[in-house]
Amino acid sequence: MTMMVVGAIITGALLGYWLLPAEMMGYLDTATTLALCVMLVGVGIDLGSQRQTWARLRALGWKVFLVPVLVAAGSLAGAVAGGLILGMPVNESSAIGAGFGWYSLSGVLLAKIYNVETGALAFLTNVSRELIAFVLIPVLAVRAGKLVAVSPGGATTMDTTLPLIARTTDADTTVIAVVNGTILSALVPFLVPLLINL
Amino acid sequence: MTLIFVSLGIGIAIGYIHPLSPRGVKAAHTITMAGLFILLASMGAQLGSNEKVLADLSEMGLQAVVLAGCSVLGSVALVYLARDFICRGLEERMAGWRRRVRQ
Repeated sequence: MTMMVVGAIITGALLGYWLLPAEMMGYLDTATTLALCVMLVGVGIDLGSQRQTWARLRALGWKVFLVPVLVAAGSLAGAVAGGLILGMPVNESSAIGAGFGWYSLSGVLLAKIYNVETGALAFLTNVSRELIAFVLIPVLAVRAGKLVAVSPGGATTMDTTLPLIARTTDADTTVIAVVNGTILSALVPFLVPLLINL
Repeated sequence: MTLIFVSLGIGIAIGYIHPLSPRGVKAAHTITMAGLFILLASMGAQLGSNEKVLADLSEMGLQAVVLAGCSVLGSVALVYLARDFICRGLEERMAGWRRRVRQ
């Protein structure tokens, strides 16, 4: 999947660099708006049909809900702090942080609704977050506790980093990781456009 | 932005009211992926034709690592501080949930 995502961007970049004249880019707008709507309907269907996860959340109690809330708050605060160090506007750094590791969605959303530079930075930032998570999860599971090992992955704890969490923690933490990833994934398509328009 | 929320809302309503069959889920996944790859290729095309972005790519890599590192640090710090509070009583709830799932 990661290879396909990178492959699609590189193919597009090569086409943009060698083949497509700059004036052609304007015509891409209608096609990409349509593609964005189709993709978001698909993302919505996926979120809406996760009834089991929402039922699971009710059964586990409100404290489990604190994990994605704290991960989200920490990510946004961290990204804004990092943005201040880099001299970035708060709307850009917070929207990039609100990708929570979901690099494909946050990257294309920002490239489409804001500008391509911020989209590219969101893509790279969230790819980096996933890579950092892969390195940190096993270390945190041993040193800081199983629950803390769920925190670096953000939205990816329901898919790409889940196998690693399952291997390095226990069954209960794995359930929390799925709930955490589902809630954060549901927040990404709402928070990114809201924060960039601050 | 309205378009984004309307599209998402339509999707969520479809998924919630009428959960798709495994075949439907596969079809929806394929369509989502097609949309995503069109957008990724288009983002690539815009990047490729933008000399300034290409020139700034290495600086952008450094910014990405700073933003990602700070985001992760923030998330880990908050969950670490609250871990004892969250874990208190959680084991019994998890055991109860497992019993209900088995029944």
